[in-house]
Amino acid sequence: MRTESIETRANEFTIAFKKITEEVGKFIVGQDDIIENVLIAVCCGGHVLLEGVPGLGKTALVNTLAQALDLKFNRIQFTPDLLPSDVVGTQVLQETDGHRGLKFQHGPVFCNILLADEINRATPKTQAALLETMQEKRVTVANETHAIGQPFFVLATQNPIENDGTYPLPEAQLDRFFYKLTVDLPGHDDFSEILNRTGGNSQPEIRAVANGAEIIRLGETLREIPIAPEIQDHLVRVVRNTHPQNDSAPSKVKNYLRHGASPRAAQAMLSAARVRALLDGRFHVAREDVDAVAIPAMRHRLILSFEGEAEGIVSDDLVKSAIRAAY
Amino acid sequence: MKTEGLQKFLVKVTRRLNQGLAWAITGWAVLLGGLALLAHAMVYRLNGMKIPWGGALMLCVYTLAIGAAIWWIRLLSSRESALIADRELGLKDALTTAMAFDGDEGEVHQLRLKQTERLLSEKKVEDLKIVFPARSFWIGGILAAVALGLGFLPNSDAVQGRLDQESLTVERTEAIKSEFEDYIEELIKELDPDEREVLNPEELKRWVKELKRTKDQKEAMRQLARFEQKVTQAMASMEARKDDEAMKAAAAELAKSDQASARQLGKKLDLNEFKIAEEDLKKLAKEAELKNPKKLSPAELKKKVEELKKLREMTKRMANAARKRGLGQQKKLGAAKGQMAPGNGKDMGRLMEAMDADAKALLGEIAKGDWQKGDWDKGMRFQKGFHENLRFFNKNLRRMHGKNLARRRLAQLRGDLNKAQRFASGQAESLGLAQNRMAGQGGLRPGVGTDRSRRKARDASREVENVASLEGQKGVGPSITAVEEADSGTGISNRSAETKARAARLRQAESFVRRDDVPEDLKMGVKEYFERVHEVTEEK
Repeated sequence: MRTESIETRANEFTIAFKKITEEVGKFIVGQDDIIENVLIAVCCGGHVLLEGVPGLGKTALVNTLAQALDLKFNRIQFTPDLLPSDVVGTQVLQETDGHRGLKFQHGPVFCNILLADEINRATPKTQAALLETMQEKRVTVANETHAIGQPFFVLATQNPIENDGTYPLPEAQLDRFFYKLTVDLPGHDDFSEILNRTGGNSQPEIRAVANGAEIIRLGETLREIPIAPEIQDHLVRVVRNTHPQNDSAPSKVKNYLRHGASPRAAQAMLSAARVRALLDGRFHVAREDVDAVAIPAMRHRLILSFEGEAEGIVSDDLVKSAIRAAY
Repeated sequence: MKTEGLQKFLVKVTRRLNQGLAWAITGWAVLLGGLALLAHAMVYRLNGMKIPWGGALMLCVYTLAIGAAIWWIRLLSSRESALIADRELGLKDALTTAMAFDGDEGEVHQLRLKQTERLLSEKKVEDLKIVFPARSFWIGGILAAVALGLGFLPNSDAVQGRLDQESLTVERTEAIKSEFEDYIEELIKELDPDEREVLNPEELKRWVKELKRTKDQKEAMRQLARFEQKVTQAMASMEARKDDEAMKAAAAELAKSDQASARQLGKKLDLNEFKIAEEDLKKLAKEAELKNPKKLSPAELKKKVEELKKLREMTKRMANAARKRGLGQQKKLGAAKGQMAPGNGKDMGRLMEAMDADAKALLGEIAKGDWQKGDWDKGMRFQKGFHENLRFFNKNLRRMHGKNLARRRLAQLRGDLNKAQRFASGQAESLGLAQNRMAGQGGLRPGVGTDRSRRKARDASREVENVASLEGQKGVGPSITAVEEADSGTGISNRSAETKARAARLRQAESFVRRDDVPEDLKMGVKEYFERVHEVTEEK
């Protein structure tokens, strides 16, 4: 049982968050939003899907984060021939003291931070094995269930431009990602800075500024941040406005969306909004927090209609119109 | 739990936002009020009418009232004010959350409250922008000023004419109703008991009551026309053509009598002096009444018998006339056609025959001399029967007298209604009912002379004075181009010669009618023909 006041814990949270951000920022340049959002997802215990062209530092970000958090880190490079057992582990025959028996060999998911690189290149079967693990946070092999250590975060990446030989994630599985973040190209100055930092002999040293227990404590602190009914109504309105069946949904949504975001999206938004409130030094959630987290929390949960696909509609625009319609 | 500072801040915010709302609504009210005023003014001006200030004033009052009502309905609550202040002052929903968790005392809420107070201390309520709707005030004011300017323009000539006409019609319909009410009251007072029996005064009052004050000239004319129609119907219900014919036939027959009193009676019947005729008959009947012949001296009895014979001569003539005309065959004479002048069910022809039969039988009884033996019962029965029939006959005469008078009254009323129509239509400047009522009490119209030795009462029912309805076609009628012949040196046109010739023809006709060798049917036909011709000439 903790005895510290909420104020102390909130301060610790903010300081820890800043430290982690600074530490990651030593190596990753020009991706502050991505770093912040990844950390928000981590604090909330959610998984992140990073989408971006190769070479933008997605893998580096995850590596750095793992170092800064002093957590066990594993990486799986997804390929079409990857099997579920390659992800979750398998039973192998072993001889111990003259007795032969099957022993469970842990797969790479048994870690705190898992980088699922190019997740869309694996077959649906393998994807499903990972996604099940993400949801349940445990693995069952040969009727034996093996718990995965806490905290457990999956940071998956996918390349949006090379679609040949890929298996797009189904909607139900996408819904399990807390956030979907789009990694954009850095600006001119950031580009130069990347070259400056990586072109020399010395590499920035990443220190561990937090650990697993602290991360879990941060998550517990979040739940105490109150949200006023009016703000919660606003959040619900935003989510419901992504449903074309809803009367108050904007015409854009009605025209271009087939399905809107699920209640899981609302849960994710609420948690993320609370983190943002704390980071802003507030002990209450504001509508601007809700609006800020709406796009990364919902963009992968919207299913475009045929018209939407044909028109090349970006789901971010639809989320924006849903937010506008909620006021 | 809200702190005092927070509470005060919220009150100030609510007040300021409601002030802003009031300004915004006032701005809209001024703008829309100006638009409404201009629209109101344009509607009237496009119709050529002067703008009624009352309507414009009401429009302003309504606009302000509606604006105030909207403001009152839309007054912001503290919660709504908190939401707006959060947005406008960048409070990041601190006020909304404070309102929502009012009363919560957990640690986090204490922290939140402190944080909010700290935040509010840096903010000023005055930072909430209140926009004074100057543009709305300007535009609304200009529109109202234009409407006001239009309000000073007078009615167009056409509209003014129409309004004057309407006001005149209202005045005139009021005057007509009022004058007719007085007229009918006076008329009712003047009514003869016989007239009162056939005229229903309440009905007359009701007809006048139905006249309503109206500004519509056509409606006024329609009302008067309906009134006139009722009067005409009432007059028609009083027509007793068969009775008149019976009286004319009786008068003609009586005129042939050698007896002066019978001829006198005939004359009176001919002149429709039924009341005098009735009185004469009553007097004669009284003189001839024979209660007990035995008690009378021979001289008195002889006198009574003489009187009775005179009466018998009259009844014989009248019965003859009735038989010849076949009047007795009629089931009902002078039956009432309308509400006014109900008949009594006894026809004149039958009464005349019955009277004659009784008179004849009575004389026969006297001649038999049974009364000398004390048997006078039979005679008394005949006498009673005679008097009974005479009473009915006299009653009918009085009724005919009453009907004649009532018809004259109604004819007069109809004439007055024609005047009222002319007055209502603006063709006459005054109604002049009283003046008119004094006229027409008898005699002929001015300018219409008579060649007869006796004067006949004027029959106003034959007059058509509604000259307003007569319209000629300009240029179509024949122009008088012929030079009329006149007797040389007399200065009198040949119209006098025509009058003389007509008088001669009338005399000829009268002598023809008086001849005994001419059948009665033929005489009546000739007489009626000449009377009709004479009436037409008189009307001309």
